Amino acid sequence: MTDDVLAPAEAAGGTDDVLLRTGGGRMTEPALRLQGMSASYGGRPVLTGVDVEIPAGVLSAVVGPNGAGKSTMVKAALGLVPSVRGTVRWLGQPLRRVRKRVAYVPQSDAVAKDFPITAVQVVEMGRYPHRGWLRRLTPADDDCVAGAMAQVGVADLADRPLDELSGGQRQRVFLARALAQRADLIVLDEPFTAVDARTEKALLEILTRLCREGVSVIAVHHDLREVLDSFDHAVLMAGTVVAAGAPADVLTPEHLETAYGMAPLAAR
Amino acid sequence: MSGTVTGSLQAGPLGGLLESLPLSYPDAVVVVGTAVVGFVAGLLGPLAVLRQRSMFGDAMSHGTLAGVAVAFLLTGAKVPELLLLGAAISATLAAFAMIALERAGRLRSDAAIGVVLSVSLTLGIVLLTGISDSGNAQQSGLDEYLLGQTAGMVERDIVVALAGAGVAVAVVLLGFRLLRSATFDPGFTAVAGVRTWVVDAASTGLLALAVVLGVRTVGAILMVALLVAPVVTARQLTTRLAVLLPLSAVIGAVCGAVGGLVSGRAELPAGPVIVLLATALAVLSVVLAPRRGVIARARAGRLREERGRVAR
Repeated sequence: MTDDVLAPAEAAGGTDDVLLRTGGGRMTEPALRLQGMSASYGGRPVLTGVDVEIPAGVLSAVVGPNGAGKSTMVKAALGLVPSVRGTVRWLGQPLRRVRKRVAYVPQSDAVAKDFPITAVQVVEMGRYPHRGWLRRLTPADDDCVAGAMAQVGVADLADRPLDELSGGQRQRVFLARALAQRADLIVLDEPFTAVDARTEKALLEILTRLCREGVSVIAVHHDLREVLDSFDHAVLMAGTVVAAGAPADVLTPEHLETAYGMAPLAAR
Repeated sequence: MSGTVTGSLQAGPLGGLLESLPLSYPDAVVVVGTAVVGFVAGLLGPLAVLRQRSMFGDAMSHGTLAGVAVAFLLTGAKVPELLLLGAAISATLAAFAMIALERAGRLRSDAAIGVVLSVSLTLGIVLLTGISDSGNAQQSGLDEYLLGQTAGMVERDIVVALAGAGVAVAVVLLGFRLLRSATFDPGFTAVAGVRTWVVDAASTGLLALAVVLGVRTVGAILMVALLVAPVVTARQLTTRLAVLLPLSAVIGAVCGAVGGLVSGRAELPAGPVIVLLATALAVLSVVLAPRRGVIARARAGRLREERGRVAR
């Protein structure tokens, strides 16, 4: 791998970024900070008064019942929802300054079904933010793509059409795209739906390892038990932020009562 | 076809090309003209089909009728370029109307398409009927925009279609990755910094181009089939967009050329003949395609089952 060529810090071109990624030092800026954010879909308010800070370098889950605005919060922060108010800072900056450093893995049904594309072509998309949309990829890009596919165990699927892969294999391919982007922050929307248990465990291990290397991960998730067991940080949503912090402090009976109107996590 | 006026028989800039074909001059004009129209439809059809917006393209093509009629009423003559301009303007208006109904009216997209499609077809037919009842001697032949006609196609039509094809090929080649990414995964593409509305506008514009070039040959009612059928055929035969686009374009061109020639000889409207041909190919490929065809899949399924039994 050609780490020296493709390190995201260099791709982003700022000295601050070098400090962020080298030596595993303390992160100065949170991965995501939202202040007074509200968002609406078709005139109906989905989020109101969201104030939250998700620290960098941790595996963070955004949880809550259906319709709580989990996906909306993430998408709104990424500029994918039309009517949004409030302040959004990714890695301490407005999104437009850090696009190369933020990788997005959308919900599986937000991707065109039956599209004629191969696995490796999907992973190559991860290099486009760096290389631009008109220029050819370089051999260094190709190495980076191959390395990312090997890392998540899909190297042998490179030339397979995406629509012939299982849900688990597809999700590995999309994670490989985020890895190929060498992002400092990976945002995943419901990454484990349509994924088998074995793949879920493998993906979670990869994400955890990335966090140890200093990457920030934010995942919209619905499995509270898994969040409690495997995540470093959680944000509980119900139209606004109910609680945020260490999963054990967030997923308390009182908070869950507020969010779900009942207790979905039975006492162990 | 044999009744074409002599004025259109004079060889123009494409004379050499047309005379090199083993066809009479009028037949050569029809074959080349419909081939170019089919090529553009096949190349740009994926912009509608893969974005799951085929019916959006259908409503745009129905929208062309009113534009053709209004252009005729304003100019009082059948100047092909002006009629095409009218078609382009009204197809674009139809597209805007659908987007506005979806966004501002908060209609679901299928409802917005349904409204625009039926209103624009009604408007077109009312206007065309009004024109044909007006006794204007110039109007005969305007109704060919409904079902398509190749008779009366002249070299100038080919030149216009070739110019459109050039624009389509250039945009698709230059913006290939962008179109692919934005169609496949609009969320990722937007986060990466692409203004996806620009891609949307460009692909809607290209779709309008394909529709407007094809509407006289294939007709407003059936144009959507020439946008969709070659894509369906090509999709069965490849798993890569970079192959699908040229393949679909060639299939569209062949359907256009053969259908145009047959319809002229059999004195049938061109649209239905071209569309039947394109649809027949699509059905064949859905059944027979080597990897994705119904038969191939059934066979692969049986093979898996047998292997499973052996393993047990």
